[in-house]
Amino acid sequence: MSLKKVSNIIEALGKHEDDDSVRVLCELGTNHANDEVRELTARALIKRNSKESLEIVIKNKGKGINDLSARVAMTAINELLALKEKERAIEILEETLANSETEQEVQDTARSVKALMSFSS
Amino acid sequence: MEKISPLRASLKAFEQFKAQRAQKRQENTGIGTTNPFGLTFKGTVVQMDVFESQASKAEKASESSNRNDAFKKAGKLAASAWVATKSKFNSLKQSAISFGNRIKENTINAWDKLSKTEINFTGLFKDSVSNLQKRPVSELETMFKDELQTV
Repeated sequence: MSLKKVSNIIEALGKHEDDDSVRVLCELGTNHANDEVRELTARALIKRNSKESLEIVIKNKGKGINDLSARVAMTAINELLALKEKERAIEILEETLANSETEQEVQDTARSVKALMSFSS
Repeated sequence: MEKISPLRASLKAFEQFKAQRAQKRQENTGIGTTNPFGLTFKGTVVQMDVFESQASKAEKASESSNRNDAFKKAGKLAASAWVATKSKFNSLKQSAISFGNRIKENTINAWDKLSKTEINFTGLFKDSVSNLQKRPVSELETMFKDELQTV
């Protein structure tokens, strides 16, 4: 199975000027059954480093750092740790922790990632 | 007239025959060839070699027949060798022809393949990230949906 074209499309959507590309990635990429597609999508969203794209991978259950697949979650965390500008990501992580409506599981993950990011920066 | 007894007459005849024979011998010695049989053929002395015995004739006949057989055998051998060589050359010729045909077919096939092969670089960079990035999101969404169906 070759995901070369899929990978290129995801990367192109991640770098696209139009913010609507985030919606496409969220709808199609993060909800796909294939782990590799979800992994590529999470990476593209984090690399975009915009508020909308980071909220998708941090605040949503079953997506990005909260993905059920350990491989996808670890890739998303590694990508967050590799960001040069981490301020926006840390801000969203704090928002997630502060929001009482957010599920406990998502909050726990956000707390762990925030701790890791503070150590790595 | 002298009376001659039959014995004397025969003796006289013998002497005459003897004298004639001696004369003839002298004639023959004048030619320089020996004629032990004292026979001439139309004045020419017949050589001894002319006479052949039946045994020698048979021998010669058998010899000639043997020679003929040998010639026949040699001829047969030569013919069979010729046929073998010819068949060998034929088989060589056939193999050379089939080899040539095979080479020709392979060349034609390769040529056909080459002529049907299209080298196209347009599709190589079509799906690159930089090219895809320039397209509208709606188009990329459609493409993404189509590609995800194949995954």
